[in-house]
Amino acid sequence: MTQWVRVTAIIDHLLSEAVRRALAAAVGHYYVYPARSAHLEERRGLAGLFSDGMRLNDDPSDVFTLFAPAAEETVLLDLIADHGRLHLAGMGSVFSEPVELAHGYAPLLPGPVRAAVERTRHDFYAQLVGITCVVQRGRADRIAREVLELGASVPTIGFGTGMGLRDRLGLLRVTIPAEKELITLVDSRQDADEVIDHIIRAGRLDLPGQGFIFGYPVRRGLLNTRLSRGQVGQAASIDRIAAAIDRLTGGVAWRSAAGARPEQPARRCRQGTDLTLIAPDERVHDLIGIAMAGGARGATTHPLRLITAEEAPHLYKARTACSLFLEQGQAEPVLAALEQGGAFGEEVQAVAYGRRVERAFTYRGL
Amino acid sequence: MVTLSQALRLVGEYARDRVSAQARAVAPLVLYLILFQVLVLGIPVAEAGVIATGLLLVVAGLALFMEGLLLGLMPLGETIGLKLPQRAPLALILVFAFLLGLGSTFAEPAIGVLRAAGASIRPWEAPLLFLLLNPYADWLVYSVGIGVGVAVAFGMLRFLYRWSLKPFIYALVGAALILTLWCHLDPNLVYVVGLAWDCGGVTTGPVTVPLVLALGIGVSRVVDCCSGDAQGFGVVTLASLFPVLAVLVLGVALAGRAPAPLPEAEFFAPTQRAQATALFGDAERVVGYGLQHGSAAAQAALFGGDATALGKQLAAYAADPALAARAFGGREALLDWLASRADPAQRGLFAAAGWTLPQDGAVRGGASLLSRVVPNVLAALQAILPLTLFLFVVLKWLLRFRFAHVDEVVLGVAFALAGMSLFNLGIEMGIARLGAQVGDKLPSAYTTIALPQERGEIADFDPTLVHRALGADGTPVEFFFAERGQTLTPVRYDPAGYDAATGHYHHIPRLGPLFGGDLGPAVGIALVLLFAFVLGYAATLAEPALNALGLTVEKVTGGGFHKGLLIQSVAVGVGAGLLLGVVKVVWDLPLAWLIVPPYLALLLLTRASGEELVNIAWDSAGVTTGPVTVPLVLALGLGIGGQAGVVEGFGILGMASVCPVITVLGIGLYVTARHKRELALAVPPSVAGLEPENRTT
Repeated sequence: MTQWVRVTAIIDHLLSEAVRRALAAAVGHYYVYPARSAHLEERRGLAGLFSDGMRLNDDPSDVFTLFAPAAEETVLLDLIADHGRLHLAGMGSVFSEPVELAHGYAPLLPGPVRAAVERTRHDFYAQLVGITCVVQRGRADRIAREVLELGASVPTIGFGTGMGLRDRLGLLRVTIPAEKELITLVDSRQDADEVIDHIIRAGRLDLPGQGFIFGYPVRRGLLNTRLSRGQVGQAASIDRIAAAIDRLTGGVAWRSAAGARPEQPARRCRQGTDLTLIAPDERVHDLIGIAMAGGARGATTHPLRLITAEEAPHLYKARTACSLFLEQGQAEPVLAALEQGGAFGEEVQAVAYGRRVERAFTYRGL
Repeated sequence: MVTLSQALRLVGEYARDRVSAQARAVAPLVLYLILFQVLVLGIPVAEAGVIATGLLLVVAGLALFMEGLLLGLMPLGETIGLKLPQRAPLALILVFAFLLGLGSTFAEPAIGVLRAAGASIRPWEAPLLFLLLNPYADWLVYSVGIGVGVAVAFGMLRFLYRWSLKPFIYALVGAALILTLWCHLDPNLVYVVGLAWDCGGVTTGPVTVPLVLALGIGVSRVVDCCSGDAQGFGVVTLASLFPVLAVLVLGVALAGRAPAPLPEAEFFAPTQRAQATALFGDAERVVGYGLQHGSAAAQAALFGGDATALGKQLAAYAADPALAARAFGGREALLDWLASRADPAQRGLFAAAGWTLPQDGAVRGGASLLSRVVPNVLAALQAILPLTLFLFVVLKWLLRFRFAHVDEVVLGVAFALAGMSLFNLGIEMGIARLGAQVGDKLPSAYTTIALPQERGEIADFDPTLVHRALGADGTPVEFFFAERGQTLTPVRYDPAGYDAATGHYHHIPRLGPLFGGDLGPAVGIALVLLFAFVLGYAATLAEPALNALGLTVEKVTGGGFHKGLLIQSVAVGVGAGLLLGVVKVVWDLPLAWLIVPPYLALLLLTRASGEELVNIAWDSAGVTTGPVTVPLVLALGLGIGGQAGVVEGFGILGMASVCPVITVLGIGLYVTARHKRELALAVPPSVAGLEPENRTT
């Protein structure tokens, strides 16, 4: 079986047009959805007189997702880094993850990069862990702040919808908000556990109904390290110094505050597979039903748009990405059930990718 | 399964969250109105019980209505938008869009609002405007409806072919501005300008806007698209601009059918009767209207100064109730006239013919709660049900779509219906009443106003107690002392209020100007302008359509464009718009002066802004004038306009639509520029001499 990677690029909205154009020339199709990237900002003016802290602010970003053969990984990373100007801190991030399983409607499976791409070779950070956290809408800012103050990395926040227990309540489900926020960040492997623990505490994820978090391996990436924006105009702002040290030490590991390590031991967590199912909006509900019957406990969905290089009217553009956490051994039967249900055929046009989850946590340890 | 107590707890928390959110949205407006009235104008709040009930209804209604939009109407619109381009040919999409636009105009009748705003129009001053709002009111509604229908159809075409909104804005605003200037030069057409620009704002109501927004989001999500800019906005903009153009064109087209403006007495003269009849459609109505609204000179002119002819005509009315009702526009209107304006001889004429006359100054109304509930429920049904059924039918039979959550959508529609009924009722009982109380008395900030509804009567008044004093300009003024509480207060004496025959003195309290006028009228007027600004700001925060737009923008941009920032910018814009509108009314400026420069500035700002920002900013103009703002603006316009004696109070709503676009575009441009500067400051984090290829281990 071919090895696939999933490439995720989080690009500042002002720069995303260039990345779109580059991707349209290089790959057959990709997905995109809007989000915001958070950073800390020094309070200036009157506000600065009354509080000494930093203010959480965010910029609109676009999140690009594409799947590619593993051999094309660095080509795509370089391409995106070039066009998104990611060698500058503050523009965005790009990273790649190994993908374990891939099933799907044939025209939407990844193909090779189409033409020779002109690129500069970038130096990527390695030994990374991706962290995704799902919380109720409105709770993400607190977690983003915690992550930024910890000096971990720039969190990206998008909107999502939860499915699961709620749908078993009948009409009473409208009383439970389904709107969620998805926080994504990438950090060095040595810091990941600590960051996850901090998020669990900041988001009170050990209480019922507050959300869940999971970490998965990220192979390489160029990360946005501009965590804060301070007084501009200095010769060397703290961001620049920090960025330079990142480069010297080859990672952001040095940033973690020595005393910030929590006293509690790492929490009891599960391993498993995060199955990402990308399907047309109207089909997702049925597909989640199939997956739930196969053992999935709940799902988080968010809308994304399929962009094709050429006009392709037969491909449905309005899609929903659905993330399902499956215990070890559950993924294959669920995929088989989806296949059985026609998910990957002409009619439904779904694709599914699995990635290994090293650590997942929610109330009662999921 | 959930137990009953768990279910109740869930529902309780759910309701509490929604209601408290709306209470927070309405609170600034209510507190502001009450504090301004009590502390600045110094008048207690009348009918406090009714108003408090009304406010509770507004909060509950808004909470239900918003939830209904989010659960029912918006998913319905979005689903149709997703399905329509796939399953229907282009012609069918356009027909659907046109019908949706047309239908929503009829469902949310703005004509009532416009009539209220034009209540003070007199046919001799602005014949064309009178014609448009009375005999041709249907034409007005049709042209606005066709305008909105064409707008929604063009909006769909835009999404399907990925056209930019900017050329539409340039063309439509350009054409409307040219027509506005053209109308400005014509003594009759000049009064249509305000109506036309107001139509743009009021046509897009709290049901239409969310529905059309959701539809746009759906359509633009499925369309093959290379640029992923937050699309789906812009229909509301078109639905605000097309009607402006449609009404201006209608005005120009009907200009030939209206007589030129005339002095009042000349208008009612028998020589002009044919032309006047053309405005009313009935010669009897001209006589009735002259009696109801004309001055003494106009009434005398009705029969060429022949008082006996007038008497004969009145005797004929008294003898024939049907004829009288025709002349006065209904029996109620006739009784009102008898009670308020008829002179004793005229009253005697009707009394002799066996009419039971209403008591002078008798308080009418005091309508029962039921009589208020029924029309509001009917209005809500009319606004929501036909449109929703139309959409259901299209979805089920045309698009053959089966809902996964049909129960949720039905619940949402039910919420929206209940919410809108409660909300309209609450607005009528609470906010409109509160607004009217302040609006009536607002001119007292800069001038002296009479408060006829608070008049008192002193039996056996002794004229010898009246004293004389020196007035401010040297002429003597008369006053008497009256005991109020424990103190003796001087009260100005008005000889007209004293009836020597009965010995009664009718006292009409006067109010204002503030600070006894010591600071001159400028301070008072500045206070009124400030009042208008804050009123616009606070009322906008509570608008449900703006809330829906904010949520949609946040959803489409993944939270990148914050709802709070949008709502604040729009609210400041509406405040500024109301301020300008009051400037227009107080100084009776031609509206063209206030409309043309901001729109020209807007064209420049539009050119400088990105497509995404332009779409969002222009759409926010259409959602500003909703059910909370409109009654307050009317109260404000009628209160100040009535004192200033202006011909028509239109234009305030139009101003409240243009200013938010300016603020949203301005703030958007500022934020973008700041962000660009920040990006430009980013530096490569590389350190010279280090090129560590081995980093990617």
